[in-house]
Amino acid sequence: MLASDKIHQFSKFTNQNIDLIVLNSSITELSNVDCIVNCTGPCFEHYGGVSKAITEAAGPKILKEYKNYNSQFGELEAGIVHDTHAFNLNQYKYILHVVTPKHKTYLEMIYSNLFTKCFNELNLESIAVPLIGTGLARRAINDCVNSLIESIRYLKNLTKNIKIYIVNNNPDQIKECLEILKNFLNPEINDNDKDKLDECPICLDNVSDAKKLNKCGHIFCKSCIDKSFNVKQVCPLCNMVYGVNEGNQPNGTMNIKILNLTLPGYDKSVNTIEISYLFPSGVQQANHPNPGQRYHGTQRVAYLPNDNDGKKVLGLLQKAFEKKLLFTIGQSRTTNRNNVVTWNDIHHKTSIDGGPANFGYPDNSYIQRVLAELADKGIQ
Amino acid sequence: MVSIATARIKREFKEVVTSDELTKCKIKLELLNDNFTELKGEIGGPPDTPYEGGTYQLEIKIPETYPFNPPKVRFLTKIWHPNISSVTGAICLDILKDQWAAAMTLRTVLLSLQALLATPEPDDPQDAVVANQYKTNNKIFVKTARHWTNIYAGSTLAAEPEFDSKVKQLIDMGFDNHKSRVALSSHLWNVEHAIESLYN
Ligand SMILES: [Zn+2]
Ligand SMILES: [Zn+2]
Repeated sequence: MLASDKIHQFSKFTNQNIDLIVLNSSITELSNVDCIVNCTGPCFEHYGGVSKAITEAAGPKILKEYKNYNSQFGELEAGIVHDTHAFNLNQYKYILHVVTPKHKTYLEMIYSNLFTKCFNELNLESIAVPLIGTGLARRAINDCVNSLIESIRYLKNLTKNIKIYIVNNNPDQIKECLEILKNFLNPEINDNDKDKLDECPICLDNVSDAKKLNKCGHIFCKSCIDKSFNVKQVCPLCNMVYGVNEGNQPNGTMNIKILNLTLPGYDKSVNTIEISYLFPSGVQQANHPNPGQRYHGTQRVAYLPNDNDGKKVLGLLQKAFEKKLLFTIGQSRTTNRNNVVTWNDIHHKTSIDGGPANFGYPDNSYIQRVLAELADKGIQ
Repeated sequence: MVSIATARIKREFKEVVTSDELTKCKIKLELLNDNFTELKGEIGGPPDTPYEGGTYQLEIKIPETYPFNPPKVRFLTKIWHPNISSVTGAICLDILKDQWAAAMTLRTVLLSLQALLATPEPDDPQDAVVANQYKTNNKIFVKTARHWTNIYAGSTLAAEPEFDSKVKQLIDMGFDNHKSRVALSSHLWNVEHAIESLYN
């Protein structure tokens, strides 16, 4: 790469062993980078100029790889990272292919999966990522950079120094990206903020040692906001989430169905809620016990009475599911198998009948118990 | 050193008692002890609601971790409302639970409670019986709520005298005054059903 391409380097980004380097360059012309990312379509079709440039530069052999993948696994799915050799782009060890997501909520997951693949599975030390979706998909740079920052913050247990390059050949976009990153690290208190320094929303006194939050821009005394974050990592004014209040439940689904039957112990007029959880197998992320290793998925069904108590529990379970708190990866208590998706201390009734001994109904105190277990996780 | 909790309550107390806007909304606040941990709130029932004309007393307890955790608030005045327990006065309101934010104040809480009286949320009930009645028998709900406002919250508006005679009927049978009123309110003022529930 040319020295002039290097726009900025953030060393020890988010206090980890990470150098984050912003480059105004073409992703096919880098050096000293282990792998680059190709954002493509489900059949590796060229949606944007960058993807086309990568494929052309890698040469015809990579087309055969694409074909092989599609015939073996079908379309490349959103969130899946597929690695191939770089062929003619032989300054790189790998090219990581992902599908440009339809919605911005997938961005963080895609960046996380890319980092897991690169640093944990392939054991590489550097990666060049584009601003995913800011090309043809016209997604806001802000969404993209914030997702990137969040996925970097989730990177844990790094044993070596790693380098993440953000590469884009549009100078305006790279400038915007840089501003977002700088503001994230050290939000500036500017003229517009002057009147906010009169009263800290927490102590209601003059702001002392002002601290501006990097996502929402609200200002507090440093000591006040530190105390507040100890209780809950959200902005006290707008509830913007800052910390990782979430669990490490892997990607999965939760579906609800109403069954026309009554659980033992309930009035005949009360029918039943059936919850189905599905977790496909996958690769453990940095916040799991064995990053890079595979985990075994699971499928579970649970039952609740469809009355006010049951609906209340269901609502809280849905909230806990969103917060990634219902399941975790570890050793199964029933089979002793390791690296499996297991319950995370919030008990479910997995049988309709048989009583407490068989994880079923009737069980008078179940609702109270599960509410207490949810409350222990901060869900109430 | 004065804790944040104490310093905050001092300021918030002043903010409420000196606010003309809040006086106009019939909102009051009273300190119950010197260390600013227990207060009594008062809100007027909002106009054009069954609570109009009523005055509601609130118990407010300030936790040590205030304002990082919400104040504990419950209704001392009995009220017939989907989000407030007719038995204990416990309140189901998101900002008093997980949606609390440290920048909220007693002023926010009192105004939110007044707003809750004007716009109940029956799908997130504290009192399931009341919520069900609100949804399926709204006319009776309104009459019952107004009756409770008259009996417990000091309103002088429409008293529903036939409700009173039904309560008296049950008292004459030896049942407790308030229990009789709850039973009748819960059973759409059907005397037989109310008696049945009191015997169970
Ligand atoms: Zn402060
Ligand atoms: Zn904020």
